[in-house]
Amino acid sequence: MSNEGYEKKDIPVKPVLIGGLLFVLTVIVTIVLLYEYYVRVVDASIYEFKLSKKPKKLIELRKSENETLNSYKVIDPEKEIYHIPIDRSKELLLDDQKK
Amino acid sequence: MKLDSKTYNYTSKKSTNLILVFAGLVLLIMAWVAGFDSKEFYFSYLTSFFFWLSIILGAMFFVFVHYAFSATWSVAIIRVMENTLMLMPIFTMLFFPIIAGMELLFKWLPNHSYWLTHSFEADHLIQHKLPFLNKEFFLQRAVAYFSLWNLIAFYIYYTSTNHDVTGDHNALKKLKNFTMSPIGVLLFTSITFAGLDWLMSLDPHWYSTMYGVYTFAGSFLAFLAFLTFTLIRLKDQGYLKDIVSEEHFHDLGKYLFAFTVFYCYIAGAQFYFIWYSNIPEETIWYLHRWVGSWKTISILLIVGKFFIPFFALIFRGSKRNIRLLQFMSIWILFMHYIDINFIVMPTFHHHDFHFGIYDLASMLGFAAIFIGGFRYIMSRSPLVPLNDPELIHSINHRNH
Repeated sequence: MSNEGYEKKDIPVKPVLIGGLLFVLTVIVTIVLLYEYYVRVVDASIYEFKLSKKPKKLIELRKSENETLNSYKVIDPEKEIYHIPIDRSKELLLDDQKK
Repeated sequence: MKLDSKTYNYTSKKSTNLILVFAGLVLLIMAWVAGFDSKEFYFSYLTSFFFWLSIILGAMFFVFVHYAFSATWSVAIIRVMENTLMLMPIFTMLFFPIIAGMELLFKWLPNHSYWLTHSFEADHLIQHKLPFLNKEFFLQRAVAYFSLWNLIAFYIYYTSTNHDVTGDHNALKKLKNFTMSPIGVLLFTSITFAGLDWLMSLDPHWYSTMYGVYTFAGSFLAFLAFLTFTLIRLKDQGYLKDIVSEEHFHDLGKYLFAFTVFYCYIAGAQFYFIWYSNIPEETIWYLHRWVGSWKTISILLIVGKFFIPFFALIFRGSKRNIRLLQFMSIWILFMHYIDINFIVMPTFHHHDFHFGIYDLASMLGFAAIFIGGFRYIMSRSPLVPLNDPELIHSINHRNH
C-alpha cells in the first residue's frame, strides 16, 4: 500500500507557537501605538482643521465680490445705466482715452 | 507534452493597444478639464477608478493564494492573473485626479461645501475622526498602498516571467516564500484601508466594521468574472487550446458561485447588524439608499447580484456551459459597477440614480486604458508559465 499523500509528521508546534505569540504581540503593540498616536494628535488635528477652514463670511464676501466684478446687469434701463465686468470697463475707458 | 507556441503566444498590434490607452487617457483628461471644478466629475471618476482598480486588487489576492498554497489546477491560468497586476503602475498615476478633487469629494476636509451649512464645533464624531481623516495622513496612506501594490505586482510578474526564460525552479520557491510572508497580511490590510479611505469616508459619520471584507469580497468577485470572461475570449480567438479546458471553467464557475454567496453574505450581514441595532449614525447610510430611484437600485442589487447568479450558477451543468459563464461574467461585472455606484453616488446624487456624461466618459476612458494596457502586457510574455513543473498537471486537471 502506498503512503503517498499521507502526512507522516505532526505539525511543527514551536514555529506555530512562536508565530502566534508574535502575532498577538504585534496586535497589542499596534493598539498601544495607535492609541498613543490618537491621544497626542487629536487636539492638534481639531486645531489644524479650524485654522484651514475658510470662514463662511469670507467665502460669501468673495463670492459677492466676484459677482460684482465680473457680471453684466441692467441697473436703470431708462437712463441706460448698466453694470459691466471691471475688465471690460477698463478696456472701454482706455478706448475712450485713445479717442 | 509539446505545446503549440501559437496557442500561448498572444499576438496583438502594439500600435492598436497603445492608441487605445492613449484614447482613454485623452478622454479622461478632457472630462477632467471640463469638470475640473465639478463635484459630479470627481464622483464619477472615483466610481470608475475603483471599479477597475478592484479587478487588479482581486487579481493580486488570487495570485497570492495560488503561490502560497502551491495550487496546481490554476497554473494554466496564472499568467493571465499576473498580467492584470501589471496595470497597477498606470492606475497609480490615475489616482492623481482624486487627490486634486479631494476637497470636493470628502466631507471631512475643512473646505468642503458641507461646512458652509454645518457646524464643526457641534460635530463631535468628525472631530474625533480627524487624527485618521486628515489630508496629510490620507495621502501618506495612499502612497503606502500604491507602493506596496506596485512592489507586489513587479516582484511577482518579473519573477514569474523570468522563470519562463531561466527555468530555475528557485523562482517558484521565492514566490511561495514571498506570498507566505507578512506581505500577505499587509496586502489584505491595505485593501481594507483603501476601501475605508476612498469609499467609506465619503460618508464620514457612517461606519461599518465589515466594510473591509465587503470591499475585498466585491473586488475578488469582479476579478473572477473578468478572468472567466478573458479566458473565454482567448479561447474563442484560438489561444490556450488544449491548455485551458472545460475543467478550468468548471472551477472558475465554482469560484464565481462561492464568492457570489460570500459577497452577499457579507453585504447581508452588514445590513442585518445595522438594521437590528438601529443606531441613527448607521441606519442613515441605508436610508439614503432607500429614496427615489436608489430604492430600485437597492432591489436590483439584491436580485441581480445575488439571486440571478446564484440560480444561474448553482447547477453543475451551468458551470460547464461556456456561453452561460461568459454571459454571467459580463452580468457580474455590470452588477459590480452598479454596486460601486450605489456605494459612491448617493453622497452626491441624494435622491435619484443618475448616469451622466462624466460617468460615461470616465467608464469608457478607464475601459480603454485597461483593455489596451492589458492586451499590450499579454503580448509581452507567453500566456502560460512554460517552465512550471505543475503545468502538465494543470492541463490534465479533472473535476471529480
